[in-house]
Amino acid sequence: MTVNQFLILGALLFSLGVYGVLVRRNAVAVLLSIELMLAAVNINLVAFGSLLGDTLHTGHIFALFVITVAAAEVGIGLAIVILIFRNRSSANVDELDLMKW
Amino acid sequence: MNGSLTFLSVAPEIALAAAVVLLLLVEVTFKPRAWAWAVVAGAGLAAGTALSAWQWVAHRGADTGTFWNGMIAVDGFAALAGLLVFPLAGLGLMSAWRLAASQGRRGAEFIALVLLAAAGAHLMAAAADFIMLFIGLEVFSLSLYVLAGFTRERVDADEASLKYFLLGAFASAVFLYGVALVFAATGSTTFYGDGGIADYLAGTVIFRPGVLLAGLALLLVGLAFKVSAAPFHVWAPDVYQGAPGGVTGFLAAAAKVAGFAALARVLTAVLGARADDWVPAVAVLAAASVVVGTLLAIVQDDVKRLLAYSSVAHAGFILTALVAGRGGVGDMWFYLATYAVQVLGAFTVAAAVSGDRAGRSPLAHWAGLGRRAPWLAAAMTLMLLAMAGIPLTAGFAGKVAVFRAAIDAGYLWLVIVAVLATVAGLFFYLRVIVAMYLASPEEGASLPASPAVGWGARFVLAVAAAATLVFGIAPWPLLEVLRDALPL
Amino acid sequence: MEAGEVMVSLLILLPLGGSALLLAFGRRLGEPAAGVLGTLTVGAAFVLAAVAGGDFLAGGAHATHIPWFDWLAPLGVRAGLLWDPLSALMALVVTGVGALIHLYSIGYMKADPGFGRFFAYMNLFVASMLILVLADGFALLFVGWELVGLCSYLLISFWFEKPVAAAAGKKAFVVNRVGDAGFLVALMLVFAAFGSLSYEEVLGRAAGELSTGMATAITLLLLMGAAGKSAQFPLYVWLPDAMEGPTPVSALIHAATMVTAGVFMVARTGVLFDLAPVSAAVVAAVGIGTALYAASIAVAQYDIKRVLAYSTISQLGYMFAGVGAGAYVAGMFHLTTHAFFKALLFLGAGAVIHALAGEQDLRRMGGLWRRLPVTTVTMVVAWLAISGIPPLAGFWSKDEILATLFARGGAWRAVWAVGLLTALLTAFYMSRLIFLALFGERRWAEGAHPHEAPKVMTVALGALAVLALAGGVVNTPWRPGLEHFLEPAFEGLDLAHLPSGATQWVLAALSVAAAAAGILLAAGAYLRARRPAEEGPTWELLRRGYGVDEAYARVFAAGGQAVARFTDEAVDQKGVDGLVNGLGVLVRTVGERLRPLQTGFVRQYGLGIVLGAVALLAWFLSRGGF
Repeated sequence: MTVNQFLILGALLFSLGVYGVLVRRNAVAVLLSIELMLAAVNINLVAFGSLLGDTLHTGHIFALFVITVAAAEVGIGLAIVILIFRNRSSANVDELDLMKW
Repeated sequence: MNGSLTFLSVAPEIALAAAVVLLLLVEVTFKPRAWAWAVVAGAGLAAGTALSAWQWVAHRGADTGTFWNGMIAVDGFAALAGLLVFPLAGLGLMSAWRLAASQGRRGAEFIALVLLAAAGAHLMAAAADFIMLFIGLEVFSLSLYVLAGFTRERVDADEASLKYFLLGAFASAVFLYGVALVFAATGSTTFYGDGGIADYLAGTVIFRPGVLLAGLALLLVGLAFKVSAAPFHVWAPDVYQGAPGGVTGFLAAAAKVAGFAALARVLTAVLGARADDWVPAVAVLAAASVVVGTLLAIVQDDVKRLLAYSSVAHAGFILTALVAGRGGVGDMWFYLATYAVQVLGAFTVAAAVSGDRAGRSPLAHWAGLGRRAPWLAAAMTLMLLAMAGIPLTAGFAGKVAVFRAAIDAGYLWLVIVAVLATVAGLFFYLRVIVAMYLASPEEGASLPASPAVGWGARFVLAVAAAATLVFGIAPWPLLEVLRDALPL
Repeated sequence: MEAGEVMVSLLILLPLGGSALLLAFGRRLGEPAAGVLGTLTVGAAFVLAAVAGGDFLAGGAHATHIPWFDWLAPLGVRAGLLWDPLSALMALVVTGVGALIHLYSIGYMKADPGFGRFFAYMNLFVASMLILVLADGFALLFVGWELVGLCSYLLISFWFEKPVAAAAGKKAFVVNRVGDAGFLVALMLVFAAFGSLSYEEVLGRAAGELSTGMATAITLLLLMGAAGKSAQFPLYVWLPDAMEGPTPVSALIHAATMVTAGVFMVARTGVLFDLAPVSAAVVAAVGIGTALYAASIAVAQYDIKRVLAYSTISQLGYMFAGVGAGAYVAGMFHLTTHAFFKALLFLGAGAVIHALAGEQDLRRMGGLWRRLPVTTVTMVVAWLAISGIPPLAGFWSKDEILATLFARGGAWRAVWAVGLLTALLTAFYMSRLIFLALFGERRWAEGAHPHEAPKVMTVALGALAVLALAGGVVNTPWRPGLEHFLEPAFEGLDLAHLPSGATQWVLAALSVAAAAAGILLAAGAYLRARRPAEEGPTWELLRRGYGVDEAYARVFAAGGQAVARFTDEAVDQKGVDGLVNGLGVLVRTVGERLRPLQTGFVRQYGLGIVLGAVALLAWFLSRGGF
């Protein structure tokens, strides 16, 4: 296993997340896709952290921070989605176009 | 100093966080009247401002000191950000006071979120490590996502909130990926010190800088999104228009200050060695922002949306200062500080005219404001003239300063584009002024005889007007002072 | 600060303070106190300017720099004043004519609900114009430049209840911005070239450091700004519309002062134009072209104020031709005399309009001289002055421009010829105006009771008439007082000079002949043709008589009017208006096209961000690849 394989895995996962954000209509699915992107970041951070042999383990610790913050982010995101769902009975982001132009 | 764990270095954040905890505890325990919230919030912000002032006095002009294992920077730059962000949060709270008070018990949450956003914004400016920068960014952004949708029952605001959240989270993920790549290329996430990114970039010749450069690009995307620079500005008009009137001012002002503080430190202090790579990109972003913002503002019929596009153009003007690298940071601060006050003032008037819960503020609401509420109209006129860059307002002095910085950096073409946009921009600022003074309200339109303005909003407008005029007529003392606010 | 410096600073602060007082307490002061306050501050400023300017008259005084404060000092931007003969002359004109117009307005604006507001704006305008002319660098010049534009906008749309007035104000603002765009870019280039915006630095170092190409670029852009403010082709379209404002505003802003800012600026930056002969030639060509063009349009107008507006454009064209040819003194001289007689013409027209309760159509005037004796006398003086009849003021200044153009020889002779033709046209249309409005038979509506204007108005008219009558003495070929006065301001410039000896007399005779011909033609076409009751063999003979009358009437009155109407309708309204409006429409259209990109859909916003990110990635990776 070389670091390149992790890099490629991360890049693929990240692209998958971006793709999901662009094509999924359900707000929850968009949220999940963003989580996928963050997971890709974590893979990268941990892989580079190990590769560099950093005694401070910066990469690993950074990944922990990302996971924590991502949890908070999901909490708030789901709350907003629920709010939208209550007001409109739908979580389809394509119906959110009251404000445009 | 590098490893020292002194709490004084993060004292402003601690003060704000303590105020938030205290506020929520007091709220849950005693269910006090609204003035008690004001006391706690005011104490927290005052403490934060005072601590920043102390840091400013002690550290201005000196080398950046880092604490907590190179996590937190203490320097003039961070102190100045505190001196700007905390009073701005105070003014934002005053401007939104009626909105907060009208939310019943949730008002305390509203105030807590503003304080958290302020703490996050300061952390973004004081971060000396990408981990800290990321945490500051998220604390700041998450608070704003919630604030944008604070009036839960209004679908406009919900939509603004979700759009802001989804796109913001998306941009954060892109930013993080950039950080991961920079970490891969340099082996560090710390900015300063031995083995820090700045040190590594200055001392190492990188033969295959692809990973680093890709990281730079994605970093830039994430931060450009926060400051709403084109083409990453798409969220701003929808969010500014949909967010409750009372919130938009703080949202617009704080997002600019925090985003540019982070951008300035990362670009000039950390990536200064790669300036040849990022300066042209920033110049193009600046040009795109002024052009797109101006062109789209011209065709808007809603004042809040118009101000949103104008804020895209202003992001471009501020980026213009950054093409000069470190030499332009003082000018950037000047423009940023004066613009933040102007935009807060303008949205405060918008909240008074169209209601502080309402999202939209169509031009029809503004017809004849000059007669219905002469002082409001006068304040708005001054803010608009300042944003348009009319001489003897702070906006003009700011434009001269950033243009000068860019000319010195050899970016004459950018300045010419920006000047032409400035000229064209007058058209849309003028449209609002014309509506206020020369148009009559439509028949049958139900408008309040004289828009409701609370004392807090009045104070905000007085401060904004005074600052705009004083720094327009005599900007030099401030510009001189801001020289010390460099990230080193 | 010395006494003189304090005086010059007070010059600006007096009307500025007056304006602030009037804005705050104007309504409470009421009539006529607000007007008296406004007039007094401007009058006091005039006295100060006269006292402070006396030093230059005595000779030996040097230009003084009066530092105010460090505005953006290390950016090369200081706020300070420059008191030299050129700024002194402009200050005298602005405050002198301004004070008289203020005085007149006390009568004209009587019983207007916005009386106090009117004088507040007028005072602010005078203060802004003084900032513009007294500035010691481009930065403060720009401040005045913008403030003047703002005041003009406020005053044109003073009666904003009238939609035309509001639209005219907006048009003036927009067209001025187009010019300002060029002006601002010019300032950027100046800054890029010199790292400073002060006259001392820029004009002092220009000769040694500026390449011809850069000088040409800067001056052409400056010209663009000047053309906007001074209503030159193709940016003149706002001035005729600006007549929607109250008449004193037309007199003060659109005749005597603001529109001269462009001429003043070209004269002030003469050093730069010296370095760029191409630009100087363009200035002269634009000027003389505008002069002829506007004069031909003026011939066909029926609205008394529009005739005067086109006339102003035409006269400003003369000034541009003068300064473009290097005849700075002659240009400034004409600026001064023009301020006298054009202000007088506007105020007189105001008195006529006032007398007829708002009527502005020449076809519904006529025979007013019996009812308005003072107005008639003063208007006649102004008419003869603008027509160029000696020894009135206009003759000396216009003739000096023409003579200087002739003396430069070569292609400049063609410019001179056009100028001479324009002089003829000028005399023609002004005579037409006078004959139709004041003389001939009465054509105004039954039931109208024309009455002479109140004392405050006629006093102002009288004072201006004296100036229009005798203003020429300041600079006759025998006693070129103004030339000596202005000499220090134009030191070291490549100045054009008057021809000597007999040539001068021949040229003067030609000018006078052109003016006389214009007046006679108009007299033939309007004074008599409009009086069909005059029968009899002699009249018959005269009417067809020499045949000359009819031929001229056909050629000039009919043919000329056809040409004029054609230029007015086809070129003016479709062409130039179209161009200016077109720019606005273009910007709007691009904006509208961009608008649909903002679809409101989150996913498409996401796509936008991704595309932007890809573009940035591509740029960064192009810098060094993997």
